[in-house]
Amino acid sequence: MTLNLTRLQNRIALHDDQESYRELFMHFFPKLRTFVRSILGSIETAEEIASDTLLQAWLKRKTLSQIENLPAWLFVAARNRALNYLEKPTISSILSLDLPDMEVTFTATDPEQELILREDEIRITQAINQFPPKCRLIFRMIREEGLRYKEVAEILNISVNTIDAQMAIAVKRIMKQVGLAKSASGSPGRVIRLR
Amino acid sequence: MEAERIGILLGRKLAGEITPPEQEELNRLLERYPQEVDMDTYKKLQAGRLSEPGREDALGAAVVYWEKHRELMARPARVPRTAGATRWMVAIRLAAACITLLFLFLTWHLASRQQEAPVQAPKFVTVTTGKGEKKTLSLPEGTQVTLNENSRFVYDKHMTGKGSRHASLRGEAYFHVAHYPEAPFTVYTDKMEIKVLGTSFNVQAYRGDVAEATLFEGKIEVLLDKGPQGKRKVVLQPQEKLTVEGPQPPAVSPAEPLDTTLSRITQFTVSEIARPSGENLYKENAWVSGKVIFTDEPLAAIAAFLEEKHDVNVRFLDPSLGKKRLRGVFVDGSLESVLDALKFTVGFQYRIKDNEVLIF
Repeated sequence: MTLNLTRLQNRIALHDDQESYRELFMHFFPKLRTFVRSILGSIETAEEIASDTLLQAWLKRKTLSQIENLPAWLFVAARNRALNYLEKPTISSILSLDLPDMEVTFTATDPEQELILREDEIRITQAINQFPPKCRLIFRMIREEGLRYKEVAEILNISVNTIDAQMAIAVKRIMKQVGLAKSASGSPGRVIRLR
Repeated sequence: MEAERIGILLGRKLAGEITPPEQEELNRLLERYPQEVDMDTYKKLQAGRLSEPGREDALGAAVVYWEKHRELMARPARVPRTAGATRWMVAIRLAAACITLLFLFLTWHLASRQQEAPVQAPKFVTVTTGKGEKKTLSLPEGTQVTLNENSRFVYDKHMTGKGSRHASLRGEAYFHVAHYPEAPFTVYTDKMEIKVLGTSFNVQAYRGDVAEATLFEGKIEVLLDKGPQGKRKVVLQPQEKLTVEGPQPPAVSPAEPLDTTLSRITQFTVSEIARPSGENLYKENAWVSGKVIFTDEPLAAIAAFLEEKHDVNVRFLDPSLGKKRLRGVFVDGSLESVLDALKFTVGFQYRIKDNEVLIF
């Protein structure tokens, strides 16, 4: 996350800076695409909606610098568009929808301290992919997009308590599954230390 | 009940939402119920990240939609409206939008047909530098490469902003890669395979045991071969340096002009590089602008650098002088010019006779 959002927002709002907007587009398009796809299932529709949502941000660029939390703003805008797409537009929570299964990959990012073994990455990935879709969506929005509990609550139209509960389930399931796999294979979690 | 609470607190901690009192509460609970938690796994979970498989697809789609987008962006910025639009205006706008969409579809359709033009087969070109020689190359798609001395660089003369871009390096080079999200740029060295989307970085990969890659801007992914543990991907953030160590591979001339074989490494480290000494001027890329940076190094180490560089022997009359530390940016010119600059900074005298430098 090396993107300086505030700077980009200001440059777009004040100077109609297309290059900054392009950076914003390239950064958010894949994220919004994934998010909408996890609501609607269709990838083409998800791409249309992601593109439309970002276009709105460009057309409203004069006020872009006033948006405090652009990621949350974009996710809410994309959510609204996605819900309009449904046959029965719902105002209730997205979690009440029949969400499609979307897989994720977990990778270690801290090569400096402890090298996480490939098997552990695979075990954690498997555990996450066995979450119920609702739990996985919440877990991803928090861990992948770095959104706050409050923001996720707003975007998905659920309470912070629900997020607490789902995150607790997520953490426990991962620890349990990885722990079980380890005790079964009998290897005491080897860790390779690098200098 | 308390097991429930531990889960909630661990979730908050993972999300970075935990407050100090909650952290204390968590610590107390963990002490009381250590069997509830597999901290080993939890720490791994904290240290990793999630990603969607097929991120390349997503970037590809982003590029396609960006092309469509550019046309739509031409519309003027929406200023907060004062009066409501009439039905007529809505109708006219709708009609205009339809026409624009049709036009866009046609142009996009045409453009996507053009994209199907056959990609030329790669043609590899080799560029080498000798001792003390530097070369700056502009690759056909806009990437700038500065080669340091004693280096060999191979690239595809037919590379464009579409499809993948390949090059290989032995020696040292500074790259400023032209940004084409749909055309990843890969640099192969004997110990590292570096994948780039658009960025500036330095690679030092002379023949030997140690090689390094330093990223200044953007993002690069480096693939390493850890032998029995398989391939390993390391993602570098700006101002990070990856150092890899492994036995020097045997010198065989590759069958292909572009050698993509990866030799095994024994270990690697990622470290943060020292702060810049000027705009985009770091110890690792100073050579590009003909400078050399010493960051708190003993004079003896600098002497070793000069010995190597200018084929001389440096002797200290008073050995304690060699322990003096200094920092600074020097123009890497003649032996005399560097010594003169150091002379005033450190406060010493020197004499050069044949290949001997005496410092006193």
